[in-house]
Amino acid sequence: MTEIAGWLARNSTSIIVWCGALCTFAIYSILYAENKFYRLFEHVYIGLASGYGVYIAWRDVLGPKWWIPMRFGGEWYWIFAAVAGSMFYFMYSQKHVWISRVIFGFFMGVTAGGMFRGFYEVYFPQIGSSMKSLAPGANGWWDTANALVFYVLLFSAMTYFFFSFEHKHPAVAATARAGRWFLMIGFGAIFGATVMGRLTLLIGRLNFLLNDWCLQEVVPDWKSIYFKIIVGLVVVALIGLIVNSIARPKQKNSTSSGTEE
Amino acid sequence: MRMYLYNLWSWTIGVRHGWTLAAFIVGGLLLGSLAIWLLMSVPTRYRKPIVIAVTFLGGLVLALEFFIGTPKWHPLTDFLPAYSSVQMVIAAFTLLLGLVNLFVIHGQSISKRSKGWGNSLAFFVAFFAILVAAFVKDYATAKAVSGSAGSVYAIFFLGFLTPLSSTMFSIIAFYIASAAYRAFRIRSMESALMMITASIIMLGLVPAGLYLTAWLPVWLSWLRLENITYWLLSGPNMAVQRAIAFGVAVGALAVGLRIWLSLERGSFFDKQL
Amino acid sequence: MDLLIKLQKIDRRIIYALVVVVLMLPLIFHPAGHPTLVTPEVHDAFDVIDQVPKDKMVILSSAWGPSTEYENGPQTAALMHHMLLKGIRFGIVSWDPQGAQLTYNIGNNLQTELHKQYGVDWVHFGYKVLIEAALRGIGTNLPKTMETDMNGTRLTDLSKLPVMKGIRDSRDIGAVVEISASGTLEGTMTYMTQPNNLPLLYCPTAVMSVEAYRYLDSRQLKGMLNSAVGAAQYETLIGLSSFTTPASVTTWALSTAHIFIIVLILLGNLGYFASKKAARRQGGEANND
Repeated sequence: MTEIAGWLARNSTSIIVWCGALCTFAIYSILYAENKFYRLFEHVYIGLASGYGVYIAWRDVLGPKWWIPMRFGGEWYWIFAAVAGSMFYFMYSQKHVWISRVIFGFFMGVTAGGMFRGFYEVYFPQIGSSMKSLAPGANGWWDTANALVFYVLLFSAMTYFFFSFEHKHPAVAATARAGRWFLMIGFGAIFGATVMGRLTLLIGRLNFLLNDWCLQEVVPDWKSIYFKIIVGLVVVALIGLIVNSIARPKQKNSTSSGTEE
Repeated sequence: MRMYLYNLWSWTIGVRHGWTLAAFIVGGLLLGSLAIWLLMSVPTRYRKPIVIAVTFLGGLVLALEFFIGTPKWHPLTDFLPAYSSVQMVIAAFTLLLGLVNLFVIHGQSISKRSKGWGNSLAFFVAFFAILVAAFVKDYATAKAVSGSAGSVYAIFFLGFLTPLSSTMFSIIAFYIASAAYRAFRIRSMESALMMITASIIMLGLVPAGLYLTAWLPVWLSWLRLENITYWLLSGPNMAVQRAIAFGVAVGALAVGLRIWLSLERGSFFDKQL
Repeated sequence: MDLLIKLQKIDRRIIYALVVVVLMLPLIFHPAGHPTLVTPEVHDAFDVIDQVPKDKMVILSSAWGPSTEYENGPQTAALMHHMLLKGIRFGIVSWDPQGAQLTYNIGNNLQTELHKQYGVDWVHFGYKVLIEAALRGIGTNLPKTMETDMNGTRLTDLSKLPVMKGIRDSRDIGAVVEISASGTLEGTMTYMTQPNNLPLLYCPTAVMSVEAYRYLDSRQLKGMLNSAVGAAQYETLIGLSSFTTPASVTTWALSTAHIFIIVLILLGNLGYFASKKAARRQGGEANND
């Protein structure tokens, strides 16, 4: 057992990187076409995430805040928390599902009760800081211009969102139309930021594949003949798969995105 | 009488040890089960009022905590840590909620040998593998065993779970690129404005944008991409986001009030329980 | 023109392959430099952390997981690096089960690099549920609300966690940093920073950063690190500009990526307009016939 522990400790970093690369290729394989490799790893992911969730909920919440105080701290009344927690599971009972509504209702009430403070703490300062001075500031008339731009954009965008009355009056209709235009600035900013965010995630994975896997693991291992044989077999298998898929008559399959190309 | 009640209360919630503790825990469990049994026996016409009452009481603590109190006297604020701890523990018991569904679906897939049952088996193997490795790592007394389990756990977490999660989300980048080419069509002036704003911001946030306009002289520095980007984000964009936020805030306040007072329609609110 | 129309029907997998090629190039030939430009909100964030008194603790509220590891991870690392260098105590709490381990690993790696010690210079409170419930309690009684650290050590055990000495409630907190991939900012503001008048810094993903400018304007947020780009700028401020870090590599790769996306949008629209023109011309010819 000690030898196994030692071997694992020495090689775990390498194993982790290789497994990471395998998982990355498995998930990216969906970009080519729907395949069993992807589905298998998708289910593995769900299993691992669920198992990890159970472990961490015990380790960081139920263990220290419930079991240890109750079992070892003598705080016996925590058993009632378990009773309350068990009420959630009545949602699986057709006859007594309403009991789960009681505990769900409690938490919904807690969230709703917190909205008073939420509205006050989050939005009152927003309202206050919307009262911008039109007097020249540290940047001179540039501050005045910015304040005017702010007022125009704020009021026109807010007018667009007033649905409780019709935008019949020409002034109101024009303001709402202008608000729609100005909203495009906000949406453009969100789109640009979204592109940046999503590409960052991809860059991270590619950086892992290139620097952590390729350069740290593949290149050093390339010296080994066994490694070359395995890589050769994998490349041959991939070429065979690609040739096979090209040679096979084309069938109408649903793609990963579910949309027809 | 007050003293008697206070002593009774202190005795009831007092810390227990040994067999007394076990007795009190079992007693508490029986009491809780009795309460659940009573709930199960509640006639249909009283169910909705009970849910409404619990919903209201749940939010009342926080609402009163906000409205009642001065900087020197705030009794409910001092009660919040205990209230929060109770909520956190009760909420943690939901950990098995989604699992029950997953176990039923994948269990049925395996038992009926339906298409893709091997994947369902992989789900169970993965679930128990990481769970066992994690608990053995924490609770095994033999160092070699806990060490091995720790390495296996690290392989599952860092080698499988983290890369799978990262990769799943990184796929969106490919779809964004594909959508940018195939779906983003500038059919109106508004979409053109949106596209121009997006382009300026995309370029202004990265070094490429800095280099594109770095040649501009100082008196034209306000035209540099990074300055235009910063002005767009902190000026027009900020105003527009605030306008959207005000609309959302008022709506959220209204919906929150309706939920707290159980006036909301839809879902189970207006259904017979 | 015909080429543009033909390119409209290109297989999406070729676009995917091009994305990989375009992003790989800066990763292979990556420049080591950090961005020279630092935006005002990153400067402000740096100043807030830099001015935290030594007897106070900074709370890192981490609501991210592996899905946004490459945006929030560099932010977490940059902030931890700064605080460890300056000897500012910090405690990190995670609202994501996987994020708890990831943030702990970041701290572990940094403490080894900077010769710091867990329990003395920093502490990890582990994964907690119900962020709003926990935040309500932290401002009033942090040790009672959090109970234990990630390793199960009670926070009141000062022999094992001397970092918690003198830390009880909001008066002992110097700043709060919200590192988030989800909408947890309002909760932190409502229950933690606004009632207790604590400075709040925000480290969002790029998607959420756009909406945060209104809070910067109202000074509810004292600073912000926008995704990995913000993290790279922060690293410039803490003296890491000559090192190659994941954040700096990402910033350069994003340059080519963004240009590529803009080119794709332009090409796609040029092809679209070309197709429309060709269709109108064919329609006109058919009418003439």
